[in-house]
Amino acid sequence: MIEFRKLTVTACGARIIDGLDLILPEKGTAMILGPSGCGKTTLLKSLIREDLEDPDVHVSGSILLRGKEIRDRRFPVHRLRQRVGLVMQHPVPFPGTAFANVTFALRCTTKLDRTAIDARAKKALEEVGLERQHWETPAECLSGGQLKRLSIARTIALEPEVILLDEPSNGLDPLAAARVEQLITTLSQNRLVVVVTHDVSLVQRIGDAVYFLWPYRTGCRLVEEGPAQDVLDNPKEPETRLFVRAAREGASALVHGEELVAGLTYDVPRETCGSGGCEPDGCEPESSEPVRGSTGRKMR
Amino acid sequence: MATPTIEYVAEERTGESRIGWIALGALGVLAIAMIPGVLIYLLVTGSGVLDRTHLPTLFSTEWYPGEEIFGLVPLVLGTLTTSALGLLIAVPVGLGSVIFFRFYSPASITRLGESTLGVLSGLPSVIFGLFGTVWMVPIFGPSLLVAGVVLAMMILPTFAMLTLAAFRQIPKGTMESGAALGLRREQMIGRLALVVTRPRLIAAAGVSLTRALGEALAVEMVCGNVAAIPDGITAPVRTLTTTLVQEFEYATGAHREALHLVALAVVLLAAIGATLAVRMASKQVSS
Amino acid sequence: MKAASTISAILVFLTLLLIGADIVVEGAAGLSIGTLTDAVRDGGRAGGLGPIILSTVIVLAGSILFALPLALGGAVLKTELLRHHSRLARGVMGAFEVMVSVPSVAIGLVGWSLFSQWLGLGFSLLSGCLTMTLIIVPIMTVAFIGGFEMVPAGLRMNSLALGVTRWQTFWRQVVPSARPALAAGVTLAIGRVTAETAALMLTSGISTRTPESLGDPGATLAVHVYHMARHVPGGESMAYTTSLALLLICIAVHVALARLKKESAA
Repeated sequence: MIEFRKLTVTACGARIIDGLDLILPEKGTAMILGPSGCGKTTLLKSLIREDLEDPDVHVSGSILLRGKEIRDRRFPVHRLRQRVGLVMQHPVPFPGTAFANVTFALRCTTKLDRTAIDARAKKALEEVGLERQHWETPAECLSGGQLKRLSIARTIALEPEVILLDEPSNGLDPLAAARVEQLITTLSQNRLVVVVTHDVSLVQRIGDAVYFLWPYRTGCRLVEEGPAQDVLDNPKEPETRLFVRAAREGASALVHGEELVAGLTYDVPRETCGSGGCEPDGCEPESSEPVRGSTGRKMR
Repeated sequence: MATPTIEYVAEERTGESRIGWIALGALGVLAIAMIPGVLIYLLVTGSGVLDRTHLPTLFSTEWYPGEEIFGLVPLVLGTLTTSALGLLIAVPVGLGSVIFFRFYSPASITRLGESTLGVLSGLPSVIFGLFGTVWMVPIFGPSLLVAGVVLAMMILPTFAMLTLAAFRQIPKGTMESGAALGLRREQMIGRLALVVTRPRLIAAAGVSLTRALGEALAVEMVCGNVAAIPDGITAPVRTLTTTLVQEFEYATGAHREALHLVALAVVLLAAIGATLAVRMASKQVSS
Repeated sequence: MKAASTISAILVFLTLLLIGADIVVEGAAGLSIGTLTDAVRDGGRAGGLGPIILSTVIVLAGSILFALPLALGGAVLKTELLRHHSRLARGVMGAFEVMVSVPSVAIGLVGWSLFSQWLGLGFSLLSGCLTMTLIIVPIMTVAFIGGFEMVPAGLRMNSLALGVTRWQTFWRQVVPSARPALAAGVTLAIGRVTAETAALMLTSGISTRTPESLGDPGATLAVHVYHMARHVPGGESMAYTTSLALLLICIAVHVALARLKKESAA
């Protein structure tokens, strides 16, 4: 379905992804797992061609969607983003009601009439389980969990073939997280849902396939892949083993890991979030303060 | 749900408007070019007077267009002296009042003071000129003094508001440490507050100076309009700006071109004042 | 210290009191509802301010209409078209900030020389509009740039990720989001045009006749104050009345700005 060939992404001179080769299946949940190091989010963003919006980001290599190269100049970008929907880690509500948030993209990019748009919005909101009484609430007033679900609704209203979720349960309370998990399971029955996460138990519960990435100093690379159960129960690579162990045992994994660490060729995951003008992807500010965030680019 | 059922516009009409961006960009470039264009226009038109006959007259102390003598000296002097007088009055009074509002007065009076300054700062300068004409000119005659006072009244509100903002932004810790060290109020103001805010005060003074240098009609109402070097504070003067306003309508030929140079001189003086202020302010920061 | 600063503060209050009282006392006599609409009589010494107000409104509307697209273009150039944080973008911002403080009388002379004489517009409202446009574009642009940059960081990307184009995102998300700052910019421009005297005297003139087209001359309120006080013997009382009208408008603009500032901070 989606294939990455020798994908290399650099931002502000720092290499984030280094020659990645990866193939994602047609259906089900594909979990991109790995420690914080910002490569996973970059991967998703490269899939929706974020490099077109941010001139500091350079991409080389191939990304194929059903065999067609999406980095080709002639591939329609907006169509791509409707077929491959990214739900961001920190969704920003559009001014207006929750309902208006969902209909916004439909109004902008489709030829549908008002009734059809409203019907699809309704369906999307029901699917994510946002209570009806909140549909007319201003989106800024929604809670974290509701906002997350709203952002998912925004994306699925466009009926994409592929849904990308960046740390969907991060920061949510267990109940809200559980609802999101349920939603992912439902959505993945008919299409590919790619989930970026560092939560091993999430992978355990809902993952079909898992792709373990590790941030090396020279960039992120694919360490191990396979059916979720296999990889988690029998991790082959030392990095994977360390990670899974840390998730399951906590601090004691590091004790065993000392020997592993000593003999491995990786470096400590580095900070890629620079300040000032160059903000490599995935490192979105924690606070919701307005940051100079213009995505300017030269006119083509 | 595997095959999408929505017809997308994106295939035929993307909703992206390249023409739109180009148009906006062109407008933006035009917007940037306007003021430099103004300056170039002034220079080009005024350059007619930079020929051998007229150039030396620019440095004389007589402005006598009838004989094609365009001495800028008295005009520049008039501009500088009136603005300097204005600053001399406005800065101490403005600073003093802000010190009062910030350190001595109860909150209600401070709020009143702020509103007062706010309203005053929005008043068109002619109103101050009117006040000066009716109340001060009969006493002192149209003069450098009245012009200075009118300018002071005009720039004081803005200067005071900028200064107040600067004082407001003094880190709390600074003043608290001073109090903890046992400093008296006067010392805290003089040795701490004023020192910490000095760069911004200088910047505020620079902004005010620029405004004063560029003021035309309010000054024209009260300055006396004699293009000569003033021999006392109650002597009439004329500034670059009042010259423009008085002579523009019927000027022809070299006189007309000279007026363009006068305008350019005003811009230059204002620019120098602003740059000096920025330079002095940043010097304070590093020292 | 305390004494000196108290005296200074008293002086400030006194100034407003004196000037305010002066204007109100001298000007109220002539001010009535009729003043706002009546024609000017007796060379301006009597009658109303109808034509003056009309001229003011026309110059205001015209210059803002011309300046809006230019300021929008300037702001878009800096925030959307140029590479963010590049030296060019910062240079553009700096250029506009500097242009704000160019003395308006110099621009007025250019307006006279270029629009009124060279283009043959003479003393006219149109010439005044064009000249004021030159003055207010930098002010509005700086305010607009501030507004666009204050938009929440992820808003654009969230919109783009849904396949919405940059053009649509700009007009349907960024601009509505920046609305308080945009309004503040326009309000600042209104204040500037209302207060401007020199530049308008040089271009739109001092005529007190009701203007019938953009090609006619017309004095604005501020220019009229000057004209009455300085060139018309016995015109002081009218100058005061006009000043009072002007004062009331300035207070209204000040209040509007304060409210807009509160809105954008919220």
